[in-house]
Amino acid sequence: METPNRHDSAERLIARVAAGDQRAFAGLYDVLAPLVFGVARRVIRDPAQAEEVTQEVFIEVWRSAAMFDPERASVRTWAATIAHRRSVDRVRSEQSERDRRTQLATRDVDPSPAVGDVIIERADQRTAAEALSKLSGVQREALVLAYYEGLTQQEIAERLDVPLGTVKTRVRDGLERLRQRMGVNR
Amino acid sequence: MNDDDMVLLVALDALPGDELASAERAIGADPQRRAELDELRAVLSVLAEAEAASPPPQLRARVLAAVERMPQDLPANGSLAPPVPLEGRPALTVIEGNDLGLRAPVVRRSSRSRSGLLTLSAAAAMVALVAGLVAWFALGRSSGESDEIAAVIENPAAETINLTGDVDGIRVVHVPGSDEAVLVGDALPDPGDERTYQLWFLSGATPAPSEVFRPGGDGDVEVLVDDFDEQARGYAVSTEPAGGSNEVTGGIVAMSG
Repeated sequence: METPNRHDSAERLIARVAAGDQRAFAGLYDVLAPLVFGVARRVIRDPAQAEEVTQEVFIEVWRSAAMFDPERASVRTWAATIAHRRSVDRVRSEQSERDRRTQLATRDVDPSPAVGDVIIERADQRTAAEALSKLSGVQREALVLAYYEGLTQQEIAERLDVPLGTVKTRVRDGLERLRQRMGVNR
Repeated sequence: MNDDDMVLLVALDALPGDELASAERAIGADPQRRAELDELRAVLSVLAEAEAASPPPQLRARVLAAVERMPQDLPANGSLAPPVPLEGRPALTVIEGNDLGLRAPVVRRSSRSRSGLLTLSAAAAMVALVAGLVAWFALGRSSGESDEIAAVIENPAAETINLTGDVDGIRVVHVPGSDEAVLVGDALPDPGDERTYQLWFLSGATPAPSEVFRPGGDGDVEVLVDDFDEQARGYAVSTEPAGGSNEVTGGIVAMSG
């Protein structure tokens, strides 16, 4: 049985959403919600705030659909980018930052999902998890802190007690290895 | 901060809001840097995919309700409408059109074809708006299956059950407390000559047969599910001989979690 490119469905739906089709938007939500919510929950940690940010992201998707440029990104990459930006914004707000630091102080870096979380086993997710498993420990650690924890590189250097240049190298090398593994296209 | 650092830090959203905005403007003006940023974001999306997780079912209703009467931004006269601040959102970072993979007027060459496209897009949005209003007024009077399907999918109270397996892209959209449901498939593979997909309710000792369906040429399908059993333990899709079966004879290709 030939496997089609599932990402095509999001690309088709976004065109209809851009024309104001709310039914297509419902379909796009179904396709993208696990991705958007997953990013928000991982970065923000607080499930209620992750839901709020997920809603903000989809409002952004609805409003901006007509301006989505398929030459610059896939719909999934675009949605993940918005989700990450919104999530990092959220954790940097004063109150969230205070709460989060309290949580960070009481636990170590955990690159795996929290125990008990409902995780969707999708082909994209399995492939991504496999690619991540091929990174060295220090590369994965640096990427986890930079992407999932939303820390600046200076903050990562202080956290790990390594020079700033070392952090940059680990992040860059990790991303390069991911790029090679995934054969990334936009 | 050199140019390489700047692209990386923007991709990671690792700059303070004011620096991020100016860095993005600088990158947006440089096609090579912009391409590097797009590629980095594609790589980083791998990290996003790795964390995919089911949102609470009730979130769908809130999101659909939120956009129900919300206008969309349309590029006008080559400029993007500014984002509307969301209530309660800490506006530390302004999300601008050219930041996040949107069509960017500051780097876009104006062309007749593009502006024609935008005009068409605006016209299509207007047509959709009018059609939506007409459909809204007509709701409840039509007995057509497509109207019934739309009523389920667009119902803010509807919840989605994803079915996964060898065939991805199948979900059942269901209105809780009712037997109304629609099976939706995106980009499904052809089940083969003289074969069809069939939905099953996992409710009794053996799966109970439900709808038989084949995707269209683009792999998409929407089918109204009669007498949906919301009490079932789960739902599965198999491939069966054309016309369907009374019991599962082919392989299960997707199942609810």
